[in-house]
Amino acid sequence: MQTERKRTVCTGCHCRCGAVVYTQDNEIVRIEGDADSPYSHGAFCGSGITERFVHSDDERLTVPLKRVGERGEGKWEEISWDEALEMLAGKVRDVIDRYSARSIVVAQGTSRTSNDWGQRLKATIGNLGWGMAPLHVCLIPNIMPHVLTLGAGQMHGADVAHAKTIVLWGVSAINLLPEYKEILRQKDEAGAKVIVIDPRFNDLANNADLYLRPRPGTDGALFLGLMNIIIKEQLYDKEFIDSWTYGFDELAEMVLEWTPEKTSETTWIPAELIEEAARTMAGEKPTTIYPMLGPSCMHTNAIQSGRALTCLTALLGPVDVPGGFMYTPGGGPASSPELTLIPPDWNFNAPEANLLDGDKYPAFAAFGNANVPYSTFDAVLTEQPWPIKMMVFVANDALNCYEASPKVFEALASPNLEFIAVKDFYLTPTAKMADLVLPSSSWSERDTIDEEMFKGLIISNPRAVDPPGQCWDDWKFYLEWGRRLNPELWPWADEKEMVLWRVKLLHGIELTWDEYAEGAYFETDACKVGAEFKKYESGKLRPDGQPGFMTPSGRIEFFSHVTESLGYEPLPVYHEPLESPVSTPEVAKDYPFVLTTGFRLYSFFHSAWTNVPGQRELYPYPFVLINTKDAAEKGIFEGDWVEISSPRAAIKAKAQVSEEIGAGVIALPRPGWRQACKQLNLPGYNWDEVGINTLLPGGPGTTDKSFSTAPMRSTLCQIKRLENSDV
Amino acid sequence: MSKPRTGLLVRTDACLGCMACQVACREENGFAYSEKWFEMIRQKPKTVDGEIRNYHLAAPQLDKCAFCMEKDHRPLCTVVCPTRCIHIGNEDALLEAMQGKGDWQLMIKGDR
Repeated sequence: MQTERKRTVCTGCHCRCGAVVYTQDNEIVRIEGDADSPYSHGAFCGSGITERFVHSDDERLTVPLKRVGERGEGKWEEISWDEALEMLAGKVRDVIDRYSARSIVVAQGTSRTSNDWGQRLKATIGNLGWGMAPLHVCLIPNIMPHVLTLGAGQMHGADVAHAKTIVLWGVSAINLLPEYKEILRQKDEAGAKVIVIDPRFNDLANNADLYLRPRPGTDGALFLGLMNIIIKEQLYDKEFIDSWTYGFDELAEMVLEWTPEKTSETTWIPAELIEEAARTMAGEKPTTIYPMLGPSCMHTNAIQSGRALTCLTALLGPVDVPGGFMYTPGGGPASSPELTLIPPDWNFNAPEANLLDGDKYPAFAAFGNANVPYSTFDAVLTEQPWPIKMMVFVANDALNCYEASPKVFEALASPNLEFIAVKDFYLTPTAKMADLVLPSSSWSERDTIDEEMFKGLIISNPRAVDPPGQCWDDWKFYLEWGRRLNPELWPWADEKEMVLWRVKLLHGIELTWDEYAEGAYFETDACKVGAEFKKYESGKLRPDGQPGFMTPSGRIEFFSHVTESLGYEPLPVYHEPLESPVSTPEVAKDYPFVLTTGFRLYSFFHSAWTNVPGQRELYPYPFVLINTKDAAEKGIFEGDWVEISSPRAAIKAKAQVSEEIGAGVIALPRPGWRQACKQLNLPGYNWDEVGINTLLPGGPGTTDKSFSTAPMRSTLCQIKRLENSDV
Repeated sequence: MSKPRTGLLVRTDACLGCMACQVACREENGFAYSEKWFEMIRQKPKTVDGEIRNYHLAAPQLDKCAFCMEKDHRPLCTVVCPTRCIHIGNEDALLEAMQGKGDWQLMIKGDR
């Protein structure tokens, strides 16, 4: 049998590694990393290569299913896509007739390349924006402060390949797989210093020069403490700060109180270590900071922590130099009004934007462009401020995604919600509650494109195999659904035409499908701009061509009036997490441990793939990290089933006892949920017995004040050994 | 002349313990789920001289590694490794590779 070699991109997570898929007769025989990929250089992971199993698994959803019993009862009838799409389109028209478009909410999980088409579909229905993507707990709380302070719509500007000091802050190794070799080479050949900052001693810390372990949720204070030392000891580039920044004196005055001693008391990091870190960052430049979800997302102080992060980035300037903070205009999530149908001047903060609780959380409306998720589930139940009648979840297992899962379940089970559709790979807990379930194709089965991570490059993403059964990718789904609602807005024949139209629209490159698929790697104009340095001097960071940055003052803004207009202080003031040993000592009496949830494992992506044997084998059971000393005091031994409880709920997990997590802190990885895996004879564990989000609070007074970020990384909990510990 | 001895080499300070090699061995060789030919032993962070340290270890069945060397492509565990820290080959080549920077774990299949 002929073996064929197909090159594409794995879009299974944000790493976007180039992939080579060897196939025989539409079966996958082997998957490798693409050594020629100018982005990932051959890196790959264990999770990605199990696509072979996913592609051929007979338990996968491959046909649209219509509910025939009661909701959640598990009785289904197979139907055609035509019938499924008629149901969807018919229900949209019905809800608009009886209520209005805003009573329909389309949600998604992490994009498998379809962000902007999802927005187009929502616009076709009559809802501009992101619907109910979980942007309050994704990377937007990183991107927004980068916009406010640095005028950069990026989640970071790290250039690890050229840095002398590399700061890996709240990032797991799994997120750095395509770039880790560069870090290693920079360490070996240039003597670069690596500083790892994370409550968890993760694998990146194994060979770090410095490891700092902050109390979860206090990163905002650590940024201020580092700036205190750098300013006091005058370790910054005075000329750069004078010429290109705004509000330095105010910042310097504000951080005065954040002495190493005070910072140490707040963050639980020894003062000497904070001083050493500050001197290393400011001494061996260029310094690059690589933040992920840890420091400034998923906390009640998310946005201000992100502001503090970006102020430190600027203080370590000059920026836009190799090995420092690099501006990549044109990189990042690409989009345009012609594609999303969102007018350029659309005001998401206006009442007519119809975003649930957009008025209460103006920063989320402005930068998240979405309905506040908790408020949306609440609106299902109360029908206030308006009723929600239809929800569609695309690659989004809501019961394992949003905070306060019992609230989500209550909403999904409510008769107020007339129609639920779920598009996914397997029958997830959320899909089990649906009225219509739609089968999804996986990354090797899609003809698509996504340039979000490639810093201006296009790396083409043609299918390696045809999807099984009637699995459709999200582009085709949006196209066929959209066409039934308004054919003029969806004129394309198929997703290949959509890809080519999009490449021309966004990058001005005209290609045939074969040219796109076989050309593999394309440079866009953004690559050329991105490769230039100190672009703020040449005017290439601003559309008006003036020197400076894309901020109101044209300078990097330590002091930000826009931030103030969104409901925060204009300086990056530190606020304790809303639930912590410091801010709620009375809660801490019963729940004395700081809880951080959702760190990434090498298997799984969010809640997906727990049934895939190659991945599940590595993490068979839901587990929790506890420090050796705490475990001894609690009488907990390795492998014991323990109960983790919060003021909201209690779940169980198996204990892993070590120094991976510090004393006083409990860490739960994502996901807790496990789907049964018959190949390994491992049981499933349902969201309500092991789901980490059940422990978290939701709603008013529990989140970031203006961005509605839920505190997935910093709340309080208690832990105890379960009596019958072998269950 | 006897056949050269073969083995497996890991640069332990480059290994993240991501276990892609373990998954790769299963994918490459398709053995039963009740079997395991290669295991990445993830060690736990521990205290040494008051500091936390960690590294991970590979535990292959070396006869199976020798079998993988005879295929028409490089062993998938070595290709999939994001840091390229794992090598399978003849003893001489592995000893040569160990001259580079790093800490190393070498396992050689002896004659029996």
